Amino acid sequence: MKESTATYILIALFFLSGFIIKNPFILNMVSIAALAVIVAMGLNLLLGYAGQVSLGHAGFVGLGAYGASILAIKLNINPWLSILIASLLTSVFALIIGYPTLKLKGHYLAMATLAIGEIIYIFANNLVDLTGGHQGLTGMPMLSIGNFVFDSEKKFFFFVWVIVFLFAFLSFRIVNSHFGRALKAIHEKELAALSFGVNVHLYKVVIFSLSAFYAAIAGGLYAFYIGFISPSSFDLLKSINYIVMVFVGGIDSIFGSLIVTVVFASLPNILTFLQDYWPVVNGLLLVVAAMFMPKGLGGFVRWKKAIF
Amino acid sequence: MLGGMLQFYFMSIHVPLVASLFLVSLIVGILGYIIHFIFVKNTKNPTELSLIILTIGLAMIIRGTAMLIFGKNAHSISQFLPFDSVTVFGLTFSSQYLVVFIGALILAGLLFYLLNLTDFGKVMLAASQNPLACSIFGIDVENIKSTSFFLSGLLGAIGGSIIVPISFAKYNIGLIMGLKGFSASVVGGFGNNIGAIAGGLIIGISESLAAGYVSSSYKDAVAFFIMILVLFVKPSGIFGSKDVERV
Repeated sequence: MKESTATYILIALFFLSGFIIKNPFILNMVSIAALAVIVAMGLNLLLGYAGQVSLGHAGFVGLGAYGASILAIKLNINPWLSILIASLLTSVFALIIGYPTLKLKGHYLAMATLAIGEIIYIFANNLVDLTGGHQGLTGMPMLSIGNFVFDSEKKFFFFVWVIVFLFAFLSFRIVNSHFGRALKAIHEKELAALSFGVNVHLYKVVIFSLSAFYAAIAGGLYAFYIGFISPSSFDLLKSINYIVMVFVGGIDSIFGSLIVTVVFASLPNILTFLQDYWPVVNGLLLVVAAMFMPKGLGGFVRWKKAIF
Repeated sequence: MLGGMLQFYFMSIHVPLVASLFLVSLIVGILGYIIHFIFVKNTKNPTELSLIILTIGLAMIIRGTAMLIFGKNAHSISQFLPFDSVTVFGLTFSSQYLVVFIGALILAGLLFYLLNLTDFGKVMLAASQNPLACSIFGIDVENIKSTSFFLSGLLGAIGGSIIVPISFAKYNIGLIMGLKGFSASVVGGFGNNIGAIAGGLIIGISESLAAGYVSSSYKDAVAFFIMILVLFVKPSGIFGSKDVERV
């Protein structure tokens, strides 16, 4: 089976499970996990196909969430439009950060994004007039299409899995395009890619900006779904969580990171008594994954390769 | 961070100051050595990416464990010198700043001596530039690597333990401090000791100026802003070293 087919089937199964699950707590949990899946898919493109680490993805999620909410609340812009505007602004922001840092050899991007994540966190905490500070921001309108309002967990659940499908589709289209193959070549051997005429720098910047776009869309949807955002949802630990999801799931396996993300995003809600131990568990998982399974769990599955 | 926390621990069980400083730096140095020996060496497929992920994981484990053991509160530690404050040119400041300043000077001097004037330092630089060529010349590159892990643990721990009387010991102070150290070396230029010191001064002074003239809540953001600005304008740093390769 091809990886894309398996992924679409899995997403369809999640979508259909919405008809069976009645418990709003579980629906809510899986919807939020689905938003994390969108972030993880974006990060997967960056990690798996450009070979760069971003330690500030939670910051981009936050930028999307705050940007969209502020546009909708203060300027009364339509929620959908404000999510789109905020996400585009976030990807332009990532473009500006990525342009100088990705020019350098080595992992400057990891440190720069770590710094960006911290800056966004600091600003979200201190621009009290705009963001409500550490108390958080409320008062976003509900998402709606015409007269149909996404006001229950169930409605949002179905909607969010459709969005996940769209982004998975986009991911596979990118991976299996000329652009994706060029990125793959960059990851394998940068010099070789360069000598085949691949504009390494441009491609890396574009993929970084695109992965920030994924993150910001997820952030915007999160803000309008929950109706409350605070800086603590977008701190460094969250960024590391996303890295764990992608890396344990398999850095170039969209299927693997989808499953692992749903599990890891849900577990802390079920095993609440383990709350204080999560950083240690995350760290252990990263160490084990980095040492023994460089391709993550997804690396154990053999997909039928598409013939170009 | 670990240096600071251990310093707090030893001071709280009344180990004398000099002994505890010595113990702390030795323990963390050995921990650095062990990390290289157990984890980095045994990594199956040591690409740059997987090593970064590995060290992030280790940092999370250390940080999480410290949080579990010492709790989430900040702990205060008494100053090293017996008197509280010193006055230089009419400016009065806490005596610990003097310790930090002199400590930084001594460490920078020692490091400069080690890296530039001894054979060992030259071998270390050579190993970082071209490991393969070094091993052809009969240098044990793995050994050099473990030693540098030991040294970086040692230096980090000393830095941590002399800064905690000012900053308090808390499980998460390491991140911001490490990031600022990184920004300082980017601003000054990598692989350049004088640049690193100058970068640190530039960042520190602009932070204080920003705290005074703008707002103290944005103090921490300033260091990162300057770093990104420098990456934009002159990626090799102000005292430009040639080590930074462009793609």
